[in-house]
Amino acid sequence: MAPATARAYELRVERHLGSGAAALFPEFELRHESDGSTVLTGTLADQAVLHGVLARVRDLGLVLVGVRELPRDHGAG
Amino acid sequence: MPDGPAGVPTPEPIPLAKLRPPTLHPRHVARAALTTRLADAWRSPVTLVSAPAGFGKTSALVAALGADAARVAWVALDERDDDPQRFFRLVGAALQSVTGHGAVLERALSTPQAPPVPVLLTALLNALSAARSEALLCLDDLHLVADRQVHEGLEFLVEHAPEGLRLVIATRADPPLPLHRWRARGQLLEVRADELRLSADDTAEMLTRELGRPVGEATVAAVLHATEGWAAGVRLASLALVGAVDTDERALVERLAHGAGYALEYLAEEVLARLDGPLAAFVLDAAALDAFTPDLVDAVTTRGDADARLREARERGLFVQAAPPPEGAPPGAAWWRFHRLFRTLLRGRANAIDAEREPLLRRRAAAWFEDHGAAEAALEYALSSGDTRRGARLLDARAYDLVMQGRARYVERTLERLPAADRDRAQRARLAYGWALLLRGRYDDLAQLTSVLQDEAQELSAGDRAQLLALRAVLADTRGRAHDALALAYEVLDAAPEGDLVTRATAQMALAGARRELGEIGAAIAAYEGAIPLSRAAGLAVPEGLARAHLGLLYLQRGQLSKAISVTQPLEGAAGHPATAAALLSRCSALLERDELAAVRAALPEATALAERGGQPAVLVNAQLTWSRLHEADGDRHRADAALEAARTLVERGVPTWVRALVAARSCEASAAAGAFDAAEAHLVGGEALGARGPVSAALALARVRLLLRRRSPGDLDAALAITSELVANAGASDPGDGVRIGALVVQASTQAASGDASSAHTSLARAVRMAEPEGFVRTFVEAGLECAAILGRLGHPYARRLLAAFPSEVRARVLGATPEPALQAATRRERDILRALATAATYGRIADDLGVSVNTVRFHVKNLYAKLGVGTRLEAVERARTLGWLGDDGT
Repeated sequence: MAPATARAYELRVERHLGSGAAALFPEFELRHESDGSTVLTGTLADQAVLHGVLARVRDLGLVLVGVRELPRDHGAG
Repeated sequence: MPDGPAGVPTPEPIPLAKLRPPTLHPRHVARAALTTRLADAWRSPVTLVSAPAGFGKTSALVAALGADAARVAWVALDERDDDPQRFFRLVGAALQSVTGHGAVLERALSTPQAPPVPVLLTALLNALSAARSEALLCLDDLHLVADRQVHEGLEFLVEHAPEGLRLVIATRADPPLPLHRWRARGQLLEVRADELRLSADDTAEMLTRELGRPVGEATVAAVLHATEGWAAGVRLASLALVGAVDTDERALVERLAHGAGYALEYLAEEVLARLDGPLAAFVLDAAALDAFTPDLVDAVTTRGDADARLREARERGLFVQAAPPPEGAPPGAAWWRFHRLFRTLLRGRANAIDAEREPLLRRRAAAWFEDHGAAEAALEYALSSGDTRRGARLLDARAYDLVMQGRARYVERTLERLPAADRDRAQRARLAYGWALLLRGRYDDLAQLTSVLQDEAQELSAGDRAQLLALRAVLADTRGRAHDALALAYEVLDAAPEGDLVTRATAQMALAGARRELGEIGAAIAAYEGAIPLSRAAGLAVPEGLARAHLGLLYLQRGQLSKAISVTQPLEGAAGHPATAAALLSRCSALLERDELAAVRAALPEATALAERGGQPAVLVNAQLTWSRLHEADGDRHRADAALEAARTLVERGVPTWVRALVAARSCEASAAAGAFDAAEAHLVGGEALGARGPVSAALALARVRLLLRRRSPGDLDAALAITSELVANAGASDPGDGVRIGALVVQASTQAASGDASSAHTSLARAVRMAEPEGFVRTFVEAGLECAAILGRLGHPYARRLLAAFPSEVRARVLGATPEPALQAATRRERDILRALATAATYGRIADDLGVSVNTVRFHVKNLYAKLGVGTRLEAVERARTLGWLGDDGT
């Protein structure tokens, strides 16, 4: 069960990520957008996890174009 | 257990690879403009090279600064350096190798009780400044360090660096340093991603060199488009293009020019696809390891071809780099790793193929490291692969050594990483953490921990049980439970192994504290004297400093001022360590007693600053008490009270019982001197209720006598006489010694004088003066005030005259003018009536009523009285009249 501090997030990065890069973000579902970006959605336990994810984005040299919190009922499954 | 000569673990040596700039790639593309710009690092206080992974930050720095390697102090950081002690130890080692200064920093930070970083940095910067050393301190991969103290230390370093020291930072994320301020002051040279991007020419040259053949414009354009001049991308592209036949190259160019994919990932896959099976397997498996040797790879893959594959990978330029050996790894072997970015891409690929493989390989690596005696590396691998059981076991075995090497922080963090069940099982690690709590003075946390461990004590080994007992002994001592502390300490000294110096030194300190608390001064002194060499051998700075501090106070109480001053002498090599604060304060107390106020004024600010850095409440309280006495000696009542008030506030942070009692005694005296007798009584009763024994109980008794002497309610003088004669008799018997006896005789003399027994007063004070002379006691007399001065004035002893000279000039003037007393003749009968009324708490209105005069008449007489007595307040008037004997019954 997700802890009380858990929140669902959506990250958007430039370029389409393949399966190798996807494996580096196991906590997210990936979706390729027609504008050439990739949207990652997932529920993260707390802010520390989010910062860890952002560091991973940075370490891959990905260009981050958006981060937003999703409504609570999103992605409960 | 890696034991040094004295049973203290020796610190792990720093791998040289962490302090050496990497060598440039043989096919490195020189970039003149970038090199010129970065060479300006020599003229800029701070240089920041901030860009994502793989932009060639490190190579650019090496190309620009490498020619001057003898002046470049290089530090290659990794995740484990996110710890101030470890970080600055590396900085010290790097600067040592370049400037010959820095070894002090490195050594100090390898001990369990290192001074705070700014203290060490100050010493280092002074040394660098004095030697006019020139050095560039290069911190590579600073983004791996998040610790606040590290960044505070770096800020301090930049703000105070001498001309010759420059800082260079290479990082993927801007550090939390005051970059704005430095930018505004023109102190910051910044090179960011845009400047690091390869131009079309750079890209063409790089591809040509890597491929060993000319490359078409379309290919260069496509690579540049897909990678945007990202150096790692261009190199990957060159690897993908090596050996590609024309059609492959066209397909690749097409995809790079028009594809929407993440270029690096795509290129890495292209590279992998071109490797033959065994090499691809090697590369994917080795990427699961932070660093590797062929032996380690063979052990985790059970394939046995790693040596050949590694050679192949290096020949093909598959981003293989030399790596620093993991902590405690067997010496001799060369360690390797993949470039961080390439490794991340490889791990993604490997995880996409089989997500279970990496944890499996890392668990095997943990076993391999454990078999090869590299416990810390084994611990990291075990924890990161979810093998927390092995992790707990490894931490258990290593934690004590880590704490004693100044790695308490790492132990704390690692304990937090363990699931509760494994943490419970790691008893020895928790015990080791108990030492860290003790060394930092976190007694409440320690009390909680020891009570939990106590319940599980039967599961501990005999040596560990002795450690637990030692921790409990110290706790009992700080809580004023002297008999418990004594019993526990003796049990430790019986049970602890001879070689366990830390445990023995700790027990010895608890023993000494208990003896002191029980008033057994001689035994306490012997125990503290014994604790000094033990603590030193155990490498513990704090107990040694505390032992010296206590010895100073004990010698002071015994009347041996010169010994008190010599035992608290600042130690060479320990200068600036907060552990020396307590001893410096004891020294100030002894100097103060000798009335060497200039020396106290010189030493006290430094001692206070060190006490503040150390943050131990008991030491901070002592500092404020000493300030209070100094201000009082300077005649600044207001500031003396403020310091005392500060001491009372600090007491609430938690201090040993005896410190609390000492503050109560001083507070009582200050309140009594201000005429606030109820407050004085309250302070005193609070202090007495603590049940302190030993020298502190003597201090409380003296405070009570001084209160009685000032208050003089009916029966007070008789009570004072009884207390003083008991004090003098007891002090004379054995412990406590002369210091207390001198104090007791001085108050006895005052009490006898106040009771009209001038000849006894004379005898008592004469004794005190004779005892005070050899060691130079002064303040005990001066603080006893006017009454004492009056008797001193009548003693013929030469030392009495010297003592009198130390009194404030107005007191001296009154004593010297005491006979004949012109004011006495001038006082009228009505004025004497009013004086007697003033000595009670009555208001002017009440006095007027009692004497049948108007309030204005009372005011008139009071004004005249003040003038005749040369005083400014009602309290002073009463005091003065009392000294003159005007309040007796003779007047009526």
